[in-house]
Amino acid sequence: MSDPGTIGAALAAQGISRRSLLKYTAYLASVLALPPMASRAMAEALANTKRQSVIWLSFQECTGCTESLTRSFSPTLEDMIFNLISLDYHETLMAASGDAAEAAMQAAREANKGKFVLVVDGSVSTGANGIYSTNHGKTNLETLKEVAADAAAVLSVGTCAAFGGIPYAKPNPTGAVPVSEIVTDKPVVNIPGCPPIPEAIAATVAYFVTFGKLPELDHLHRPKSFFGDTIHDRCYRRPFYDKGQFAKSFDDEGARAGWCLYELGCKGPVTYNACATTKWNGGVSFPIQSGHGCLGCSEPGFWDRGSFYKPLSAAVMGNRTLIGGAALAGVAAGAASVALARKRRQAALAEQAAAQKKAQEKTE
Amino acid sequence: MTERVVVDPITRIEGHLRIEAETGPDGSIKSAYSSGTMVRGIELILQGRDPRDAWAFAQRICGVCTLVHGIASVRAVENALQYTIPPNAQLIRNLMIAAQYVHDHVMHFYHLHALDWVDVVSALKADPAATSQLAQSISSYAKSSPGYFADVQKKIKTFVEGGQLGIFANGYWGSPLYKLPPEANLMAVAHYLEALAWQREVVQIHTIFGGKNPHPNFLVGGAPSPISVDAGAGLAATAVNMTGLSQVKTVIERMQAFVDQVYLPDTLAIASFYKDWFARGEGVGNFLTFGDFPEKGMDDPASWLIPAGAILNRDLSTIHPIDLNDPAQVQEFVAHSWYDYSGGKAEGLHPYAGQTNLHYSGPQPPFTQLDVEHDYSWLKSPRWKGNVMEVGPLSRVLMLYAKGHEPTKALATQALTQLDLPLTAMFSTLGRTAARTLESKIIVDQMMIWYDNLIANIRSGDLSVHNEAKWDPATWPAEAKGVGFTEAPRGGLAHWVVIKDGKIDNYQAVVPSTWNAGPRDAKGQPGPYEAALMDRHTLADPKQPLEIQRTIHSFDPCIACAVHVTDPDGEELVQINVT
Amino acid sequence: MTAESPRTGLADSLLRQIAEALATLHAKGTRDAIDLRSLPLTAADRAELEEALGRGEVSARLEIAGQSELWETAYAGVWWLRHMGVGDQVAAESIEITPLPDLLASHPDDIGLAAARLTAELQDKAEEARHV
Repeated sequence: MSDPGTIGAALAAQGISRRSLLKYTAYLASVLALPPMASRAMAEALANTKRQSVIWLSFQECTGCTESLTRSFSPTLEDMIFNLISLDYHETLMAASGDAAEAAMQAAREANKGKFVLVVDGSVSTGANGIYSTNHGKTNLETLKEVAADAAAVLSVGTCAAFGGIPYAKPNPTGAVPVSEIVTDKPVVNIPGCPPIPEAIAATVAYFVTFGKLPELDHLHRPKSFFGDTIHDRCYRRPFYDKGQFAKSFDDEGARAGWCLYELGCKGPVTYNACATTKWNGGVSFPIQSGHGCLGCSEPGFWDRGSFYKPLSAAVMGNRTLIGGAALAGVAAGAASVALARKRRQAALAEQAAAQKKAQEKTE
Repeated sequence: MTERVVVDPITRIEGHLRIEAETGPDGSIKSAYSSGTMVRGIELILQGRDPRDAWAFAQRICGVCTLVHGIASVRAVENALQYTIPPNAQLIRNLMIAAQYVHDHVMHFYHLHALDWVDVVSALKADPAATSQLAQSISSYAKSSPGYFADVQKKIKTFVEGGQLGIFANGYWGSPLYKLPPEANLMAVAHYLEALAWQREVVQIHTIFGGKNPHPNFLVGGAPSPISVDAGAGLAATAVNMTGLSQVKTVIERMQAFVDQVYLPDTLAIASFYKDWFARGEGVGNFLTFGDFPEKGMDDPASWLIPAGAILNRDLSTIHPIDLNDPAQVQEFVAHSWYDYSGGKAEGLHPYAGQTNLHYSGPQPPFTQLDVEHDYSWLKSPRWKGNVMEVGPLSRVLMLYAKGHEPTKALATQALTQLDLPLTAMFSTLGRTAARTLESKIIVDQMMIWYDNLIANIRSGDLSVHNEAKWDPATWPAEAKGVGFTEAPRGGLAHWVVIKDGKIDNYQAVVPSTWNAGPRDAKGQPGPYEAALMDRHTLADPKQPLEIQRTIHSFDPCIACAVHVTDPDGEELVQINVT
Repeated sequence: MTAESPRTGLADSLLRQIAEALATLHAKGTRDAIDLRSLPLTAADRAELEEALGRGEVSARLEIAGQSELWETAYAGVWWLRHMGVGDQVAAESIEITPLPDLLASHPDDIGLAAARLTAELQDKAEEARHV
């Protein structure tokens, strides 16, 4: 039986069966590109864990990242804060204000020293010693250095925290920088997007809770499972691209038929994100499906790459031919995807073993 | 002998806000100061960009009222280029703005404002059966069984007993300022959770038309959502197919049901325990609206659901006309802000002529008090003909009432009768909160009409959502300028744009929370937040400043919106003079 | 003009993969699973796959944080699992090659709690009987 204080025990107290955890980890394994067989070990590991302390700091931001998190369907925000994490500081959601809020953060820092996850949204202003953004009478720059020193890991949520985002766009009036420029002695995970897909935030946190470590990251410190492929690679309109069928304006026959938006400036081919697969707001749609090209909002420096309506040049597209052999390209893409999924499964077997080991240690 | 009470951060808002208040020996607030503590400079970043891109930049001013800056921006560019949009695009925009309103207002009430009035810990003492009776006595909402409330209570109990209080840690639970009986507290906590689930569906209207939320997409000249009803059932060509459109309808129905069965009855039920808060927290008694929700187009003000105008000194009998292009009407002041003007700090500048030089002159961090005698905020102080104006739900409801809008008059009369309060009770903290609920009802009731009109157009064969005529910058004049405005959830919002040779030459936004949260002006007139806190507030315990939270939250602050910088000359953009 | 949902041939590749996994399950008892959500299946591919696998004797509908549906296909040992999240959208979908999906079995912890609950209820009943 799960120890008191663990996630498993809390669920049991509410009369929720362990199948709910298994269902959740099945979902989690899928979005994290772990082998589906890993979900059982993950469910066991989660059941035996305490809710993870999370401190969330907001700097030069617009609160869009937090709003995004409230839209997460799996897990929902309420499931997260009641069952998965202990959100010990979050200015937009917490009850207390002012000194009482600050005291809550200090208490959580003390109690979970070296163990809490620090989430940051917003860039960090360094201009004029950081005076352009203060909180509780302190610069964000100072607060970040202090709090990060006690954190187990740092999650930079949103393009502003990850890559500087809009405050960093030219001419960067306030000397904004990404979090990773300030925190250099800790693992920093970037979950970019303006805002990020909420499930990417939630799943990355859940991964840490389950495995006690960070997921595999790419060269820009993004979780590979969400940022491994371009939107173009996984776009349902890709077959039209392969056939050379392009919308020429926002409301022509091609646009209404869902043809490729490449010529209207879509940045899908150079944007690594999961919008085309995870989609938005419960899988209802994503920008391209609704009819607007991808802005590339999860890429570093996307604000300064020229107009959103200027087509990518052929140079950016590399060797890809604009008009390819229709049916063949489709089959090839499909087969490649299966191979890709296989490769990922291999790579993730190690993860599964780690989770099993962790679960085993707990039960012993 | 006064004491300085500092609340920083004000939580459960958008952005970074600090309140300082001078209190007398009895705890009464003698003077109050509102300070925005974060600046990014987005308007500055907009200069030199393609005007068709501007909406995406401007939208990132705020992720809470996530579409309002996008709307104001495309309207500003369309106004500058005299660019008309198809009727379907107008209707889609109305639906998106309305979804934003109702979503934002409900989330504000339950997730940002409720914990000022609702004691979560007290809910543990509630009797689920009595809670069920209470809920059924005020609403026909289906989720009201004793078992349902028992489950919610069990969830909170497990949570509290686990010892990790998370976002509820250090709340002012048990304070005598909380007046609700345990059953009302439990009902409100249950609806806090219901509203979280409900809002995820509401934003799907944005997802279908704009591809995602937060930050859905917009398009100068129309809407970026081609309608694909002819493209074959089941094979989604675009999200705006029959499946998508019928989902929009379902969501509108759910929005209406939630407003009617949960939000409206909860507001009245909770307000009935706090009637003294209808007698304090008046701002300045001046109200301003820019108007929105055109039936036909922004150039036909007669067809707007919400009218434009100004009300001065509570006088609802006179509505003053407004002109956003008149340099003598809207002006911004920096007398107590961390900026310099070339003509001196006393002058006021119209947005077309606006300038901003960052000049921080406050104390060096870490600091405990701001120098409120001098400059103390990154917000400017906008004024209309020199008057401090409140914008937002209360202004709109009063404007609709003053104009004789029948549904508004009926709704307001019904609510005030139920609470046994006079119309003047609206000039208060809870008047503001109640106005937000009332306008949600007024707007959600319009949504099905707009939806039906959209469907009727589609049925008659009109699928057009975008006007291609002026998309190509080669068709534009060498110079153009325009203003775009909308009624954002937090109040009137306007963007001013100057276009030169196909690029943005100047861009300026004056936003709702700047009107409401700005500091004192050159004449020493306090802003609406400050004035409201100085209206009959006495702090029972300065360490638990619930009274300040209540009145500040009644405005629904959005501080990232409120702070902005620009420079019309594009020359030396930022001068930093830290003293 | 209609937008055809194209067949990409992915269903064929998947069927071959399933056949291989099923043979391995029989020979060595090794279970396997394929995550459908992460594959770029078109609507036509999905329909093709579902039709090819067919439906077997067992199907179940579960109510846990939204609906879940699972069924044994016409091929014993090949199970289709479809999880809906809140709002009835497909949140996860997979094919498991296994004698019995984990999700169907009761968890030992739940069994433990159930045993305790049933015992307690019987005790309560016995108490009541004594008082009567």
